Parts: sequence; structure tokens; C-alpha cells
Amino acid sequence: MPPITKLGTQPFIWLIELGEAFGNFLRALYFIFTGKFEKKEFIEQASKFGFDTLPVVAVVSFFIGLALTLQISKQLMGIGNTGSLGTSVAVSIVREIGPVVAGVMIAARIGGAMAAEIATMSVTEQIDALKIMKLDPISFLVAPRLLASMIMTPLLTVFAIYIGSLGGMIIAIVYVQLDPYMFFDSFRAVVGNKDVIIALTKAFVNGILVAVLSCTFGMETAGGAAGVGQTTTKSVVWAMLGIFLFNFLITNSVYSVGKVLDPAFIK
Amino acid sequence: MNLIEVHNVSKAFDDLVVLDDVSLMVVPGECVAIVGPSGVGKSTLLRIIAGLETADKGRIKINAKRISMVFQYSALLNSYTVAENIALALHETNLSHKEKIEKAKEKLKLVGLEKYHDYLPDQLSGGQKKRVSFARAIASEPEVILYDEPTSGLDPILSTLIEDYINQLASQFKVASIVVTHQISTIKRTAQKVIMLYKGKIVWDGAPKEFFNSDNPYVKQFVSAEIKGPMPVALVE
Ligand SMILES: Nc1ncnc2c1ncn2[C@@H]1O[C@H](COP(=O)(O)OP(=O)(O)OP(=O)(O)O)[C@@H](O)[C@H]1O
Ligand SMILES: [Mg+2]
Repeated sequence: MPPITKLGTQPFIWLIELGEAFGNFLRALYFIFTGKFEKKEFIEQASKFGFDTLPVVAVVSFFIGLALTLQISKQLMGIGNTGSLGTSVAVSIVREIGPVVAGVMIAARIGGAMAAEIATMSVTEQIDALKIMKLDPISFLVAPRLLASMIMTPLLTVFAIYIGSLGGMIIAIVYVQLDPYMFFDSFRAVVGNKDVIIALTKAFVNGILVAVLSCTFGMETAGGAAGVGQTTTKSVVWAMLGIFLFNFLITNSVYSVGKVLDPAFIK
Repeated sequence: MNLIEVHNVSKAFDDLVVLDDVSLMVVPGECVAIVGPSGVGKSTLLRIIAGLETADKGRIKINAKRISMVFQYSALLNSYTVAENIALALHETNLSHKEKIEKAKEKLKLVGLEKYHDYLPDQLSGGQKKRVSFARAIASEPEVILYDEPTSGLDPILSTLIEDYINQLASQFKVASIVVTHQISTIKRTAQKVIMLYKGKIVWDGAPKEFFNSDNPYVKQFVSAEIKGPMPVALVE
């Protein structure tokens, strides 16, 4: 195929792949709800999830918490309003930074590994071996990974929020010399159930994106070790794009819906 | 009644025609050997029969409930132990996990690997993996078994062992099988019929005895392992 034709068909290939990913998602959900999935794989995946990502998520969110609070406090000190530092930090960490940072780290760490693992299984005919034994790869491989991801991503996101806030507090105490109680009072005053729900919704969607894209691309892999490498990169890139896109969409819809339901919501 | 029916199957990968109007039938208890030069489409044909690949043209009919396959490169699940790999093939039975593992160990004993039951596939040699793959394929007591080079990578004694099992399954349980092989002993000792593939077509078929004495130029070159003949090898062209 000449390159220019290839360029023309590429968007259709993407559409087909996204359709396939969505189909896999629905089928995996069906297996989760009917309990017809490999429990052993689920337990293994869920524990691997925690062990692999906890350290990176902790380090990254801590430093982002530090940098973000430092930046905001500079601005607030300029207008002499350090009292609202907690508020500003809270809103950005809980609603935006926490879910995105956890999501991106999970996409890189878990999504990449998941895609490589399943792609290797594809190119070495392990998935074919499952099929011939009448074991559905969706119930055997995808459903347990999806469930692990849907449970663990929100947990890790909450963890990221705590560690990020801890970083923020350290800056507030050391650099701005704020009273920690005051920082947390303004923090608590602004973070409500709604924010927690937003954060968890985002995390849940991120978890779905990472697992479904990695598994779908993994299962479609052909072409040996080179194919495995390509699939890994592709899964990480697409999952991250998805995370940023859905993060924006959710924030946006929360604001537009929130405006209608509760004008006081957007402080 | 045929257990395996392949009607006029054709398959191409992009421009490369791999199978061109191939038909074959296998009855219960029969073993058909498929031979032919490397890259001729033997594995592709097995994968089509197994339903892992779709044919561009033609029709496949399997008149059996259970079908299994020994893959050319074993295809054991990496993250499961040897015994668990075999136990997975028993998932449709009512056995408990423990009973499945016990049964898996019995099958391992048949291929001389009972000591390796809790090894991971990556800790085995190529020939050992092949034997586990064989044990996995026969564990579910299938009516149809497709073997992709079941004796490659095995020493002559182990080859005989596997060939004996293939015969035993055919005579005792009326299993219908297709064996892709390059090994003379496997053709001689297991097959009732030999099919030779070349350039997508069946260029010869008949009994193993006739195969080794055939005047067919393709078969002659294959059997005598001559480099010169109607099937050119890229290196010497
Ligand atoms: N998925 C695929 N995509 C593209 N080409 C393929 C694919 N699978 C096989 N082929 C091509 O089809 C041809 C037949 O391959 P196949 O594996 O069936 O050969 P074979 O007869 O089993 O060879 P060998 O004896 O070496 O195992 C080869 O030329 C191979 O390049
Ligand atoms: Mg082959």
C-alpha cells in the first residue's frame, strides 16, 4: 500500500480498534458481573498492581504536591492571601492532579507491562492455546485485569491525593510558615463529597482505559518481539491520551451540570 | 463418517498464496501425515482446521466435540506451572482443582516429566516443553488431535514414545489425527496416509509405504533430501 493511501485508511483502522476495545470492555464486564472469570488471575493482577505502582505513585505525587504548592503560595504571598492556600491546593490536587498523576503512572507502569505480557502471549500462540481449550481469553485474561484495574486505580488515586497533600502541607509549614491546622482547615472546608466523587469517577474511568486498551492491543499483536515492543508503546500512548481526554471531559461536564443543579457548587 | 472434513480450502497472506484448493478427510482412528518443505503452509492448514485462522475460501467441518492441538512451539502458558497448564485443559470436567492437578501429574508421568510438575515453562528445555504440550493435548480426551511436529526436538527414543501414544490413541480411542512432521520415523510409524503439500497444492497423497518408493519428483526429492530437484532452495538457486 502506498504511504498516502495508508494515511487515508489509518483513521478507519483506529475507529475499528476503538470499537473492538469497547466490545472487549462490554464482554469483560459481562464476565465480571456473572462471576465467570479467572479468580487466580484477578488476585495476582490486583496485588501486582499495588506493589508495582505504590512507590512510583508516592514519589511522583509527593514532588508534584511540593512544586504545585510552592507555585501557588508564591502567587498568594504576592497578594497577601496565604490563608486560602489550603483551598487552592486542595481543589487542584483532589480534582485534577491526583487522578491524572495516578492514572498516568498506572498507564506507564501497569498498562505497559500488561500490554507486553498479553502481546507476548499472542505472538507465542498462548492465546490460541487458550482458545483451543475453549477458554475465552476475555474471561480468562481481560476480565480479571479489568476488575483489578477498576478496583486498584481508585485506591491508588486516593493514595496519590494523600501523598500530594502531604507534600503541599510540608511547603505550607516550612516555606509559608503556615499553621498546619489552618492549612488543613481550609483544605477540609473546600473538599466535599462531590470532589471525592469526581476524583473516584476519574480514577475508575482511568482504570478501565488502561486495562481495556492494553488488553485489546495486546491480543491483536502479530510479528514477534518487534510487535510486542510496538504494542507496549502504543498502549501507553493511547491510554495516556485517553486519560487526559476523559479527565477534561469529566471536569467539563461536572462544571456544566453542576452549574445547573447547584450554582454555589463552583466556588 | 469423517471426523475431519476439509473442503477446497484456500488461504493467502496479502499476495502470498499459502493454500490453494486443499481438501482432505480423516476418519475415526485414522492418522494422516502432512509433509512438505518449510514455509509451505502446514501449520497454517492446521490452524485453519483448528479454527484459529479463517480460510479465504472453502469449508471446514469437525464432527467432534473435543479437539486439541500440539503447537509447533508448544505454546504453554508462561505464568502457570507445568501441572497447571495441563489442568487448564480439564476445565470443562467436574473435577476439583486438586483432582485436576493429580490427573495432570498422571499425564506428565506418561511423558516422563512427573518430577517437573511445579516447574514453570521457561525452566524447561524445548523437548520437555513439547512433551508437556503433548500431555496437555491428550488430557481432555479429545476425539480429534492436530499435531504440529510433535517429535521435533526429541531424541529418537522419546520420539518413539510419542509415536506409540499417537498410535495408542488412534487404535484404542478412535482418535482422528493429523500429524505435521519432517521425521521419517513418525511418518512410517504413525500414519495411514501421507499428504505432501507444495506451492499451496497437494502434490501427492497415498500410503506411507508408497511414499518412500514413489516416482513423483517432489516426493523423490523430499525423501532423498536432495538439494537439486523440482523444489528449489533459495540458497542454491
Ligand atoms: N500470520 C501470518 N501473516 C503473514 N504471513 C504468514 C502468517 N502466518 C504464516 N505466514 C506465511 O505463510 C507461509 C506458511 O507458513 P506456515 O507456518 O504455515 O509454514 P510451515 O509449512 O508450517 O513451515 P515450517 O515447516 O517451517 O513450520 C509462510 O511463508 C509464512 O511466511
Ligand atoms: Mg510449521
